[in-house]
Amino acid sequence: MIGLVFLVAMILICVFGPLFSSYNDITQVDIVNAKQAPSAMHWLGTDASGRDIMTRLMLGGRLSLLIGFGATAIEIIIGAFLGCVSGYYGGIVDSVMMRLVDIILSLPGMPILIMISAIFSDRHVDTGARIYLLMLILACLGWAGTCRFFRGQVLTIRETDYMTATESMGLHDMRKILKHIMPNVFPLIIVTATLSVGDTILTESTMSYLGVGVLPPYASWGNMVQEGSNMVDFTLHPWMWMPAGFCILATVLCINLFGDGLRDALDPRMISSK
Amino acid sequence: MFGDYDMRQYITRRLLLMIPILIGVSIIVFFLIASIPGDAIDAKFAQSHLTPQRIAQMKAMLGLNQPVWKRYFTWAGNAIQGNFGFSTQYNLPVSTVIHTFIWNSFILALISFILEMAIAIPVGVYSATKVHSAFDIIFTIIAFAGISLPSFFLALLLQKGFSVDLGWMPLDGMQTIGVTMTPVQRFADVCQHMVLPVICLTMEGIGGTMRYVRTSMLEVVHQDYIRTARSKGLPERIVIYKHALRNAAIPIVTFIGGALPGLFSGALITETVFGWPGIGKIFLASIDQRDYMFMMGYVMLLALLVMLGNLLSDVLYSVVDPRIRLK
Repeated sequence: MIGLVFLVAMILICVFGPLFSSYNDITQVDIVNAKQAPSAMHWLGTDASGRDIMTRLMLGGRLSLLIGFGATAIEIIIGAFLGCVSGYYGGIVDSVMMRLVDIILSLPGMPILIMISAIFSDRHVDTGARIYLLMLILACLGWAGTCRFFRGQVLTIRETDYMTATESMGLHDMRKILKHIMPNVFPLIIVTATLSVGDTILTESTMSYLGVGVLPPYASWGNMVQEGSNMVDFTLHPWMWMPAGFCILATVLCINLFGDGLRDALDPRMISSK
Repeated sequence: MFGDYDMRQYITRRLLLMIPILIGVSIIVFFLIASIPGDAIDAKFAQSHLTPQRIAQMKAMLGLNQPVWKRYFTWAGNAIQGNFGFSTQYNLPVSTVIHTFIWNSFILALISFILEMAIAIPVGVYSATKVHSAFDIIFTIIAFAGISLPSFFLALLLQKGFSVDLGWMPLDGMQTIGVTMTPVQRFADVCQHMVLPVICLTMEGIGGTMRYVRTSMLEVVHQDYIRTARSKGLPERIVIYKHALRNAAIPIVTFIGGALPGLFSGALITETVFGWPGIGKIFLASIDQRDYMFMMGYVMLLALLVMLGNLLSDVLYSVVDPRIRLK
């Protein structure tokens, strides 16, 4: 309902991001020209290095969305599959997996991410590569929650009649998991994935704000807020940091509304609604 | 309740299960910390005139020249006895440092939590009773906005709006420095500094809680026994507030219980932006300073709090819901 309406808005953000960015692609390199000029020829002004904020917002949007979708994709694939495997086999496999998941879930997320990033910094990892590494790390921490969730779902599905039927058909285990269990949790996967993207974007932007996520010269909404948060710019040049923050808010909001609407729509067809 | 043998058994079993997890966490974090280049001595004395021999001497004093696994066992051995080492930043035992700052975090968290519950529960319940009404939709959007806001941005907006532009609130810190005040004035001063961080924390959490309460309430309201109550001719008010609410209270109570240990963990971002001297802010600073002992202590504390929260939540579930029996 509400979600579907905003879905359109969200797609627009996704679309205008990449499309219009090709406008001023030179923003990868610093133009130390017009410093901190207000909104005129540049719709949203320029930042401390004279780069156009509007374009950087779009480029940043690209990156944030890329990281969000990328990390979520990896984590969902790993998490959902392992969750199904764990729930299906039970026994030792399940116990070990759940202990591992518990350990990862008990790790405080932000501190760990900051520490890992500090290791990268001091080893002088290339800033471009760091984006992909960031995606990987976020996925590595995120799969645990997904895994546990899907394991729970599988525990319920396992007892249903059609699973008993596949049992009596003598199907191979992996076949049962891949062809019968997973297609049934698929709607749930979609919903979880959608909401997870929003979460990942928030985490990534917070990390970039702290200076441990996407680093300059690459633009990310998080690090744009950080760049505009020094004593002078914070008070006198709000255009440097406010638009980026609102972008994060708007995007994540749309994703959440969409995901929630999706969940409501798929509810009656799901095994358990949590 | 605690006299119940099953309950004690369950709790004991859970507590025992926590141990391997804590060990696992400690190993991962310790080796992670050790992988960060540079250590406490480097952080403190990088720009000084100390000779390399002197630096090596100081490192040896702190045991930083030992191989990682040896340092781990030293730490673990001490930790089990309750000694979490010395913080290199503050030259005090880690437990003292934690003890000093954790109450600052706790005050913020507690007040925010109370406010959160005071607002979210009534609103959530009322939203559920008037589903899809204007009230419901408005508050749903507010709730989602709360969930979707990055915490640092909310903090910055509040700072900009109320502190910089309007000048109503102080910018950051816990107290105004350099001014002598009577205890009463001090108290009022701290309270004034608390306003913005508390608003920030409350707004962050309220969205999720409101939705959770609303969902719980909705699930209950659609049950058959509610329909029975209505068909018995009971006034709607009693149906909702006596029957539905009692059942919806189950997940809510477990949620509250589970959240309690988390009140001690400190809000990393909010505290940093507002300069509130809480344990979260101290932790972020300690990473830069490579204060290994403190970092370990804090991370272990956090892991413990998470697990205690889960345990509390599960135990409360069985206590509050007569249908559940713990295995």
